[in-house]
Amino acid sequence: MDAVSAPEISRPVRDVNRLTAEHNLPAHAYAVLAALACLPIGITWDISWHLSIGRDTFWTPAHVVIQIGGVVPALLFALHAFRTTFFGTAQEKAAAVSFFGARAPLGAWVTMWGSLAMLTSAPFDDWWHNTYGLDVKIISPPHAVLGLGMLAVALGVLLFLLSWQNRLTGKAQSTAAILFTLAIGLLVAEKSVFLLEYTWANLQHGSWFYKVIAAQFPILFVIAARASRMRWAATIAAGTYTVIVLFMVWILPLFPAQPKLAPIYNPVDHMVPPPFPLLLIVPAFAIDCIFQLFRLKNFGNATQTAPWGKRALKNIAVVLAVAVLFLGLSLVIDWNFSKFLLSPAAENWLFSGNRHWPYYSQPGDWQHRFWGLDPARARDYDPLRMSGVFVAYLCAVVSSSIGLLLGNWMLKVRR
Amino acid sequence: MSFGRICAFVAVVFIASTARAHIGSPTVFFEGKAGPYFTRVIIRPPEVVPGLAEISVRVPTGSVQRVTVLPVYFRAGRKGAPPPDMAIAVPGEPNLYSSQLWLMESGAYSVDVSVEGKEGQGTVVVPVNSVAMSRKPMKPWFGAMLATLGGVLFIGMTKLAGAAFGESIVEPGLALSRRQRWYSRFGMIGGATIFVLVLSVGKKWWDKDDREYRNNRLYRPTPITAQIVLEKDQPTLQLKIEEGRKWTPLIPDHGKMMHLFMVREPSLNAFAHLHPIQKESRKFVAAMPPLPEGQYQLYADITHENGFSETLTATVQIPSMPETYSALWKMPNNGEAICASAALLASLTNFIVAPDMDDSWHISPGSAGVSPANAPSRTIQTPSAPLSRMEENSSLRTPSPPLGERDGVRGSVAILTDGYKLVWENYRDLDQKGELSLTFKLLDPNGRPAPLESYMGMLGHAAVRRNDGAVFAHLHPAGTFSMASLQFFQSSIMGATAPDRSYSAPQASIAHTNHVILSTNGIATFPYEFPKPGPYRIWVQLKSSGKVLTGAFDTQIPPDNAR
Repeated sequence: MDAVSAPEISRPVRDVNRLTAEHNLPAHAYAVLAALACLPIGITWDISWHLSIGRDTFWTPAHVVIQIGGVVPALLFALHAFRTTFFGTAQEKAAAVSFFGARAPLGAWVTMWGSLAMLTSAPFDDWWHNTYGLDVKIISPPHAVLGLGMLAVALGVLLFLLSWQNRLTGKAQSTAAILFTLAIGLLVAEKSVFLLEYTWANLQHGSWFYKVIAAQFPILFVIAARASRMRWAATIAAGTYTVIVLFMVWILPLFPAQPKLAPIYNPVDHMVPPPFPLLLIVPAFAIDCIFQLFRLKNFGNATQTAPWGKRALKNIAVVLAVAVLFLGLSLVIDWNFSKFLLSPAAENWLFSGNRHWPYYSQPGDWQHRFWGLDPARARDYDPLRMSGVFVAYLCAVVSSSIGLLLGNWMLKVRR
Repeated sequence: MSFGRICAFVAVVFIASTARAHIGSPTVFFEGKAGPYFTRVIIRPPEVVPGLAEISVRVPTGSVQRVTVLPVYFRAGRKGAPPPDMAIAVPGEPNLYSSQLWLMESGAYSVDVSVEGKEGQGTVVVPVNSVAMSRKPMKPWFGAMLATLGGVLFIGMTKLAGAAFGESIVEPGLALSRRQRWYSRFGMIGGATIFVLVLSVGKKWWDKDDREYRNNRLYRPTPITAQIVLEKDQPTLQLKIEEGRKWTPLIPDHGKMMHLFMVREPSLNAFAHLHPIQKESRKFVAAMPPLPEGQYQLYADITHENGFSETLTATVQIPSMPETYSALWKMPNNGEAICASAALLASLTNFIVAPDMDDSWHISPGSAGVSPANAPSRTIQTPSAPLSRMEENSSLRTPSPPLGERDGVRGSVAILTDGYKLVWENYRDLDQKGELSLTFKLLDPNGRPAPLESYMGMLGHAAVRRNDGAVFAHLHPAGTFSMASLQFFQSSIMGATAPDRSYSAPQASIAHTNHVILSTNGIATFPYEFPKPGPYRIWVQLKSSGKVLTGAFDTQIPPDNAR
């Protein structure tokens, strides 16, 4: 082998066997996924706590659940890294990446990084409260650090499961694919909580809502559709999100609660549920259909062998189609379903209409109408116009493109 | 900014600087009876909103079984209040209970303190303002810690991005090719770039929130301007609330829409407590007493109809008064200017703008335009040297040898007009840290305790000012809160008439009547806590024999003794 060509190919450095049908997922893969589920559940519970009771401590049940979601995966992965680095077999070490000499799968490191970001946000958030007051909104700079940390924790779990899906075979691979798809669903649920302030039913006749969902959700569904080996991965991911939110919508109000902060304008007597979930499952289903139609599903033959130009055209076509269908279906569904959610017909336990308002909101007509449609209130005026639809479409295109790029990259993740 | 259309014979107008219900002294003191229990309540409001208020309740007598505290927001009333919180007995501090309450909104709150025990149950209402008062800077060590954590995250993300495009996509057991190594390096550059971009966007976001906090959420006083305006050759003080800011109607406090304190700077040797008349919604006018010329700092206490009290500040330059005008203020019998209460004026009809009957002022000896003969004096030095003399003259704290025996004493006695003396009885308590009871005794010209009459419904008034103006507070024996706010929160619209509660008025708070003797021992006590160390001047105003008597005291609060 000459010196010129040698670097162009990968060289085996260890005697490592490929994974075979006998191999299976490690037990902590299930554990990290279970812990990851604590994040969307915990933050939904915590928000409900703040909307129902108001006063909290570091050790409220909701906070503990969030801490489990942030810390347990990182601890399990830290243990995994320790074992792999110092006591791992050659195969285990080979299936890991190096991080300053320590070895663990990429996903493990990403989760540990996310956990550190979450920890960083804690003193930052405390300082923020002492400097600017306790924030009564979800989106603030320290919360953004926390949210990024949570997303990184989830992304790490995702990558960890992905590396197994991409290496395992047979039934074990299917199991890994299921866990990977469920993890994406948890990520969708987690993201939806952080987008809560932009996705109220009252905002769904304005342009900002469509821009936000077009920018944030296609990326995840495209990743699911492209990288998971499940046929209906995007649909299952959206279904996971829907089930989690519905679970919280239906379960939380069963628990009594009493506001403990003044002023109280809406004297709730139970835990306030989150709003009814967005009907993302429909556009997600459409995305799955598009990927199957364009034969871009990952069924073991993921690598595109067609010429570069043809591949590019195909990817562009998929992205454009995803953007059109995601936005078009969202417009039709959310525009109309939001009318129902704001109507008296939705005011029941099933749809939770008009039941998600916090104790500090003053009941009024504003709860039952769409916001941003009054020209007299220039600051909030945001009706849906063609220009807004176009911007939302561009958001969907960019989001889908990034999703497809990431999905294509994820197909290659091996460790 | 409009300076008015009337002709000003001299006017120097300044814009208000800082304000709050008191300046730099946010702690609220309350003394009163909760049913059968004498109660002192101290509320330290948070500096940010939402934030935690610290509440201390001292109940020195009675068999107390339970103390609860309840926050009430002005807009929601008691109907919108949560269940009351139990105050916890402080270990090692008998009769002291403490609690913390979240104040979630900006505006006027009250804290209802209920005391239950063997003697029965009672409740007091303590008004407190909830506003964001400061924006704390980040401490260097904290910034360094965040920067370190950020650095670790940056390095981690850069390294992981390299791995994401390098090792992670290589089959286990295979090494990176040269191309893959380059991909990995590009990944690292990309990761670092994204991190920096995110950090940069985050910083802009942080700056935007910071500006929003400083401009819109941080409490800013209602701007006010002051000027001396000539009306038919008579100088009047005119105050204008700046247009363009939200302004809600006011409610009277002690029967007055505004309590205005004037302090001559930098000598502090002239002081006035006036009550301008509200001529229009945003305009106030007061007759100008014959104060010596110079620059004055103004503090205007007002209470809005929503229970929110403010202290507005401005400065004004007072010119030399025309002789014809000063003559109006002279007593008909001896021709000397009055330095006490406008109530003594023989003829109010000579004034274009009549002085308020409860206006009073005080000029120290040596002031420009004031002769020592007609000026009451003040004494009192810092606690250091005079304190030992206090100990030597312990008789000052108890009545009452003939006054002549104490004529030589300095350090705790203010010599007032008409031979009255004001004794600061517990001067030595300044050595203690934290809450104080500033106790003063008024002695008549014979050295006997002078009966104290109601001065605008209170046993007395006091103004505390740090010499640099960083602290100003208007005190009463009942506390530091606005009586108008108290009445607002006690009113029936707030739902205060719950049958199971007995809401009590604060101590020494009675209807606004004159010549009502409230105390025969001449003693008035003002609960207070000096918020900052440094030199202070305290003006104490008591009323006896129909005259408002003002004594001034200087003191120095050591660094260890301020809160």
